[in-house]
Amino acid sequence: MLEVGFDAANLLEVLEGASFQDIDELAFGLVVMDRAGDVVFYNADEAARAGLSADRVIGRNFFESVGPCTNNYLVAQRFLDEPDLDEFVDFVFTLRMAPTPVRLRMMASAGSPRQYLAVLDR
Amino acid sequence: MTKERPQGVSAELEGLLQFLYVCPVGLVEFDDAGTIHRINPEAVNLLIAAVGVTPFGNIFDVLGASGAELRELLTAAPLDAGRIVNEYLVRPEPAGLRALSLNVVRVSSDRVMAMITDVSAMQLRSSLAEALASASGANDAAARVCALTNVLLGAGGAAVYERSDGGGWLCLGQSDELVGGGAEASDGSGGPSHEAFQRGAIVTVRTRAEVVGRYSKWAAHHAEACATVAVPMFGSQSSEGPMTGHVLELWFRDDPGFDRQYFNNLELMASDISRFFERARSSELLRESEQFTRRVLDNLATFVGVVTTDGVLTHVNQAPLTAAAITADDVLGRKFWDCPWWNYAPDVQAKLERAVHRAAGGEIVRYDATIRVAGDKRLVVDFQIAPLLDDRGVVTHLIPSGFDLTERTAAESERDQVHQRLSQLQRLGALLSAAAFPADVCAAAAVVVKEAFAADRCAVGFESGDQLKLFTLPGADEQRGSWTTIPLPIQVAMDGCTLATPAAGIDRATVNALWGVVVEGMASSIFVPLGGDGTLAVMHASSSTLRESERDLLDAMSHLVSSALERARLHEAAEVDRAEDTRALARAEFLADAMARIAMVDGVAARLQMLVDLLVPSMADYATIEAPDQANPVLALAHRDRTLIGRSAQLGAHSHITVPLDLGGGMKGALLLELSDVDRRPFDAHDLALARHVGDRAGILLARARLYEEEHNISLRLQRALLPDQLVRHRDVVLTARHEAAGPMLEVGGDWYDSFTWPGGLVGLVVGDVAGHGIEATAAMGRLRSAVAAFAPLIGPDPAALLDALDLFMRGPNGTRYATACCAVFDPSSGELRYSSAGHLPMLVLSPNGRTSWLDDAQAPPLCQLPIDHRPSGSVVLERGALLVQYSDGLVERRGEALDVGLSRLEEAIRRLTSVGLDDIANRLVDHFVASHPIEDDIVVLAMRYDPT
Repeated sequence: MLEVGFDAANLLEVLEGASFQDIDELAFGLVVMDRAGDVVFYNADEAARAGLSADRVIGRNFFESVGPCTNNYLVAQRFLDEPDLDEFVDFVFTLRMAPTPVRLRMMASAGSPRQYLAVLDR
Repeated sequence: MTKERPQGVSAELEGLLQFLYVCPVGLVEFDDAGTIHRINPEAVNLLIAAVGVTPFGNIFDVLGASGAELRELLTAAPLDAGRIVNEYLVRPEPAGLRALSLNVVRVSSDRVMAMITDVSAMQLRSSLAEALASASGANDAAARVCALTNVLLGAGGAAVYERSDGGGWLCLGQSDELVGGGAEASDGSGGPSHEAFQRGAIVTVRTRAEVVGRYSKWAAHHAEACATVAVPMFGSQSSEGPMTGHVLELWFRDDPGFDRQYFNNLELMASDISRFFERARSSELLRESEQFTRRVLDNLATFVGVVTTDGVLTHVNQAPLTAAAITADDVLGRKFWDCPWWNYAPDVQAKLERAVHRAAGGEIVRYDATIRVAGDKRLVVDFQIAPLLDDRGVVTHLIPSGFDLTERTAAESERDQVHQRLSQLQRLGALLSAAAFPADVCAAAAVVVKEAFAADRCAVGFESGDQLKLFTLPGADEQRGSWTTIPLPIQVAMDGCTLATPAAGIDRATVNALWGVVVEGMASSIFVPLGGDGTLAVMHASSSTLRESERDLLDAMSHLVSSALERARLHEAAEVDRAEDTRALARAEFLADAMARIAMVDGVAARLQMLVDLLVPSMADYATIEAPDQANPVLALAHRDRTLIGRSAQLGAHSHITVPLDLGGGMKGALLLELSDVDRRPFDAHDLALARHVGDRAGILLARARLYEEEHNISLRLQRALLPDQLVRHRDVVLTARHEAAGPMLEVGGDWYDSFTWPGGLVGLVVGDVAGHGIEATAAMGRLRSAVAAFAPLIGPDPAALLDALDLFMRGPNGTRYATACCAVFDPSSGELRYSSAGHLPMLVLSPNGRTSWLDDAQAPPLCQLPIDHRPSGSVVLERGALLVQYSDGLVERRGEALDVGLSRLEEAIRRLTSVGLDDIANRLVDHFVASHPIEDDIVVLAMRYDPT
């Protein structure tokens, strides 16, 4: 059980060394993608929020088919443009088309094969 | 947040939800108050992109100004209406790329659904199409695109670059709000160079360092930019081969929210722009191609026709008809050579007819032909007439064709002109190199220049010191050139001498007026100053201007002529120096000769006349010697044209010299020389110098002549004083005497005579001659006569003794070097005459019967020449009425004549004077001799008639 919060300064560092098991147990939603945006891991908290099972999501491109509402310059473009990234943004998810205010944390480190999107209800 | 998973029957609903969820159309469900209840991801993305905020809460607030309007529309719409708003356009403020279209429908009494579509691309393309449609040319299009991107894409600045042929980038146009949209010329180096352009990818640069480093040209602006975007517009042909096309570059101060949609729109826009440029280029190529084709057709197919083998024109294309302003009916069916293109000259027709016959024989004939076209103009064509053979090789028709050669002919003509000019220059150079003197240069230049410029008149002149020489071609005789020489004004005054030339009103204005005469009747004249004080004038009767090439030629020719003229002037100056030496010698000879001639005449007046006679015409046309203070001031005058003597001396003269002349005896005068003949070279300084010398030398001769004249007068008066006032009076003899002095410039001699009486009635007669002239001879004569007069009473009536006494006297201090004398004593009572002669001429006796006899005995040497003890004496008895004549040698002696001739003349003269009274005899004798011969010496005659009572 990883004792690390959504706002933890060292979250990206922790995640880079964490196992999927650890990530699955996090108290906030977390999407692990490769650098092209394809979903590598979808944790339990996020699966519950979106109403989507992990096995339906893993392997698909997050920005295009899983969370298309993030396919804009506020989210997707940031991952595309910035190799090193650790930013917060207030956003609205359209889970079942009901506007759901969330707080997002976008994380990526240059050289890493992964990038992370953390989700917290607000 | 529910975490239930869809189960069983709800699976269908789940599917429907998923359908709506991924629907590529934005869907938003909200109530009448605007609160969003459902929204799909596409709607979120569209709204985020359009308004820049995450859509949550109230849709009307999200949409800003458009939302308020939408709220009113919604309120106003009836509740039962299905569709409330159709294609409602939302353009966020400030205006940008994004544009959304909303279709709003009422789903239920309290729910409304909006379908949102992105129409920014349509909007963009429509604006773009509108802007480009009105663009004129690539640069204008680029400027419009840039302006549009500033508005629609929210860019801070934009530029359109074109890949230039050299591989660089040419800025077609740009807008930059920071510099007021002014165009900034690009040298190509500032254009995009990133390799990504070549891959056709949009490049986004977001760091300041990169911006500044890569776009140094825009560095100042880009330093404030948060992003720049380069949009390649390579069109269809960019995939392979060298990169062509355009690049749209944008930079942003504020992040416009780059996303896929944004870039999609950029790409759309780029593709539209690219297509525009391609179309523009295509149409340009097409236009060029059309023009080329038209040119080809216009120029090549000048003339195509069909002619029968016997020369009848059966077909012809439109071009030659149009050119000649005729119709096909005018020419078809006629012999080809009778058509208007050819029938302006028989030889042209004949040549064509021959060509037709040769072509009919199977030959292709080709030559440059000149055809007549509209307005009776001529057109040179490359003409060909070729036979058309059938499959058996028989000539069935002839095909004439002609191509306009006007341009080629013009070029050849231009080339010919260049050659012609070169050859004219060469000819001029050759002629000039052979021209030794300025006159030759002028003549050569006039001939070549006149020909080279087809001038109607050409004049070349130069000024040398005292004259203007002008060669005009054609000259007065209309063909050959003629020379005009105009003396230039000169004034010299020194030492009382003046040289004025010309005097007849030829001054600077006259010289200029001469040039005015040269250009008379000419419409245009070009004056070119030459070196060596020359001027070249090219004149045309009709107004004409020189073309640039002709001006160049004139310049070149002027330079040649200038240097030749300067060289010739130097050459001439050297020649003049040599000629001047010759002239100086001639002047010296003239001076010596003139002075010798003047010295040979006696008397001032004669010498003055001789002087002017010598000066005219050799030196002047008119010469006078004037003494202003005399009653009649003109002392001597000579004129070349005798008929003009007496007219005003100033009249018609163009050159004057005045020098002072010492007339002797304190008289001051002046020698005036004038030239009136315009063909004669005016006086120059050398002439003035010569005139001064003549004046000086003549003055000396005149002074001397005047001295002689004065001395002569004194001698004459003295001689008259010394001769006896009267002769002896005796009742049986009559005596008469005459003394005649020599000419005015000849010295008075020493001739004398005297008579005495002795007691008893004896009469003594003496005639003598003292050698020498002048006052001294006269004085000696006086002394000798006094001695005889003194001796006679003492010695008595013995002629030999008297001469013996004179010998003694002559040896004394009062004697003289040489003298002759004849002494006679006559006894009237017996008629006996005794006599003795000391070297004197014999006396002559004329008897009353007319017989003459010379008393030539009793001769002894002249006085005091030899020691003589006693002189001889002779005697003769004179008849009553006999005449005795004693005389001096001046009466009978002539230069170059034997004495006997003179004596015979005297003898004859005496005989003819028998009837003359004795009183007149001496006078008549002298007059007779003086009349026949000028007096060369003094003359004394003493005559006695024996007339006893």
